[in-house]
Amino acid sequence: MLFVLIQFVKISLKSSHWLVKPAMALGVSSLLTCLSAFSANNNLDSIKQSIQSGQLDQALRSVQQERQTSPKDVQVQFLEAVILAQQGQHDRAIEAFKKMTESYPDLPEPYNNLGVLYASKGRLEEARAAFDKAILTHASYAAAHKNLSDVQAQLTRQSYARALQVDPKVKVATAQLTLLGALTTERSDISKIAGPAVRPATPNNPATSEPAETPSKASPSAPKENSAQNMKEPVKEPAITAAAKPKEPSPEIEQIKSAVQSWAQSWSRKDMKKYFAAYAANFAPPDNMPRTKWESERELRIASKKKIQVAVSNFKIDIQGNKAKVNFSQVYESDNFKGNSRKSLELTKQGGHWLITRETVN
Amino acid sequence: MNIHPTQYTQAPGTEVPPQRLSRKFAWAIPSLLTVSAIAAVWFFSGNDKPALQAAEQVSGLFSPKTTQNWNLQFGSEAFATASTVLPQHASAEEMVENVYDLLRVGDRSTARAQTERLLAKYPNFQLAHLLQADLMNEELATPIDPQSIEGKETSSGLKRYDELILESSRRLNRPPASTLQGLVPSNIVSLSPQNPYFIAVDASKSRLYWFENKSTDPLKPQLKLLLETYVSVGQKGIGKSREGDGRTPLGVYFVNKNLKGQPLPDLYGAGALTLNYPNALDLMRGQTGSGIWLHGTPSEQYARAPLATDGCVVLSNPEMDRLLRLKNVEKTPVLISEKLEWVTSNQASKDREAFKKALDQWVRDRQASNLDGLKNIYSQQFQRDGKGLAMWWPEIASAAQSGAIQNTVEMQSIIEWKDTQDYMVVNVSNPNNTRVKRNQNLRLYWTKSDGNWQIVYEGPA
Repeated sequence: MLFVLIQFVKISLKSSHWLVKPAMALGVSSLLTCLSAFSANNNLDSIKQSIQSGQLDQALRSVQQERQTSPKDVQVQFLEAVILAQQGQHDRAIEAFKKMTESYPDLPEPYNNLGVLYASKGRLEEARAAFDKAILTHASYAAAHKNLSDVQAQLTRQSYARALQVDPKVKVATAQLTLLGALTTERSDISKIAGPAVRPATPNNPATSEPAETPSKASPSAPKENSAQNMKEPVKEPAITAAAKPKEPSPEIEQIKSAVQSWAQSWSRKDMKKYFAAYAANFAPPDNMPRTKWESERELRIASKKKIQVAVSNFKIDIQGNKAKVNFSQVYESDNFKGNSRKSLELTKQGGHWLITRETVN
Repeated sequence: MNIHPTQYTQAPGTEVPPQRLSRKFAWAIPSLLTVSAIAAVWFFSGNDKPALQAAEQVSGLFSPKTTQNWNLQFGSEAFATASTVLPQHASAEEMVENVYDLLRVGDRSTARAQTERLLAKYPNFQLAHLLQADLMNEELATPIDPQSIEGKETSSGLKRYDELILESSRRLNRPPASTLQGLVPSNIVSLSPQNPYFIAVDASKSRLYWFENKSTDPLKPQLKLLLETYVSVGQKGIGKSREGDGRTPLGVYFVNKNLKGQPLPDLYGAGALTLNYPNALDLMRGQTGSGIWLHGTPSEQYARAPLATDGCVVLSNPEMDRLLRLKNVEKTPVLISEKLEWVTSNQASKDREAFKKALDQWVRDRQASNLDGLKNIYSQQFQRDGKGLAMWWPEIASAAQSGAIQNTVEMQSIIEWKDTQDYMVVNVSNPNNTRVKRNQNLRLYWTKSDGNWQIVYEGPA
């Protein structure tokens, strides 16, 4: 079951309500219906429907119940965070998404949503960093690209305002951001779900010294009109299946990418056990070094750093059966060194895992 | 190569090839980057036109020619050097230059990272914010018009924008310090080794030059450039004549006091050195005003606009602080000029030979108490504290009568000043004169009238 539902909802920072266009919501529901037939978890579907119909309190109650039974389910965590965001509990939603980025650093959606929430609070630098990370996990992740460019536009305005020493409040709050309602990343261990479109209820931009425009909560129809003006046409890619799109990346490519990503992450975290586990037993260390010597040198080199950050991107992958050559850009930063390079890894699939057999810097 | 790991990873498909830039920004080429293009044009053409005309250069920003050169500049192999490692103590200006160097060789990501570092170090450097904004703007699918940023109720944003463009053009067009090696401002006729420093301001370039005096022969001044920095002058420019005219005076001044450590308003930043404006010549010309200082920058700004002060010469705080820490800065000559002329130190001219003869005559007549000869050297235009020679002659004559040993003088400095007339500002000390206060020196203003050098002012220095 390889359903990918990518759903964009345009939200406006300026308007106090982020609203789903009715037509859009309709489209989503039909897709949801379609999805739910395959879904293993009917409870999640009903939660999503509650969110769709605006019954947030009920949705939250259900999602919290669901967490009791399956506390580790990433979809449940994600939905809960989305509900919190939609309820306007931004700080709690931020905490929840942040935790998810720590537990599931391969998923772009939590980073993206974290970015949107930061941006709604005017924390643009953090928003940018979050979108950057979303893109690092999935280079082709369109929502984060769009968001990144919106945040960049805001940051640019802010920089100009600082340069010109003028109060940026007049124009800074106009950018639109995309908050993803669903986890859509193709991952074998996460069945695909479609979440509802969400919106933080009261964006609070600290760059604005005057109080945020107070929404007229009494008349729910009023913000709808606002949003219709503030929203551009939602960009929507309907549900696509991997089967229907032969040019979609093959699961092998995704697995290889994810193997390289997690190798880079274990390196960044100085998780030596996980780092060495990324290398195959027949890995050939450079200079014909014995494996044990290589390991101790790597350990010494990595453990001596206070901080390491390794980011990989721009993959070129060449698969030949159960062997693969991966070429990618690596940005490495440690306490006192920064550099970027093109790196090559040779991997072999062993026991369902892609493991490194050779590592070279181009 | 330095790369910031998160912010500068270029997402696939967002990279804009250089040739697209000109089209994309046909309506508004990013401001600072364009200035750098102009700098490159200026550099290439070998045109030594000073940055004095910077405002005009800037107004020509959006011409197609400039756009072309933008491409030329960024594609040129000739620029293929850029240091990615700057020394720890790199000044804000050096960091800005480094960013441009990096852009010239096409290393955008490092340029972005260096701009971040620059802002981390100097968060109130508005020019760096503009640079960062331009760099970000360039990456946007729909670039922002920087001129749209200003608040509706005020035009201050637009004014500040023009000021920053001028500031960047002045900074980037500055002559490299290496080209000044072995040169001195042409105004220096003599500088005794007893003067530890010499300061010169070139208002047309918004630069201040602080020299250490390395002269062994007073007539062959040797200066070592200690600091060369951007400065701001009066909001209405130069040529102060009246109090409140918002102009910086032009002339030869001397540092009076170092106010380091004294409580001063935030406006003065790191501190101040006071100057002797109005000097004797200013007073003779009826100029008014006071409190012309060299001082630092208020905390909200790293640097002020090129034309921004009420008449003071303003430095950034790190530079001001460095100067305030120097010992014995009092009495340092401060030459404030519209445009400095640089010469090798051993240049002689007929004018100066004639002046030296007149000065020698004055020394001899004083030592010989030759009052008749001496009086001929004093001009009928002599003026001190609003009174003429008739009033001051008895005092001058009585000083000259006290005998040869007491009247031995040592030349401290001779600095030429030319505007409507040719002047020599002479400082002398009287090491043996017990009648004047210890260390009290004499200052004389000489001018040439009808081909003869004569004294128009004499008073305590």
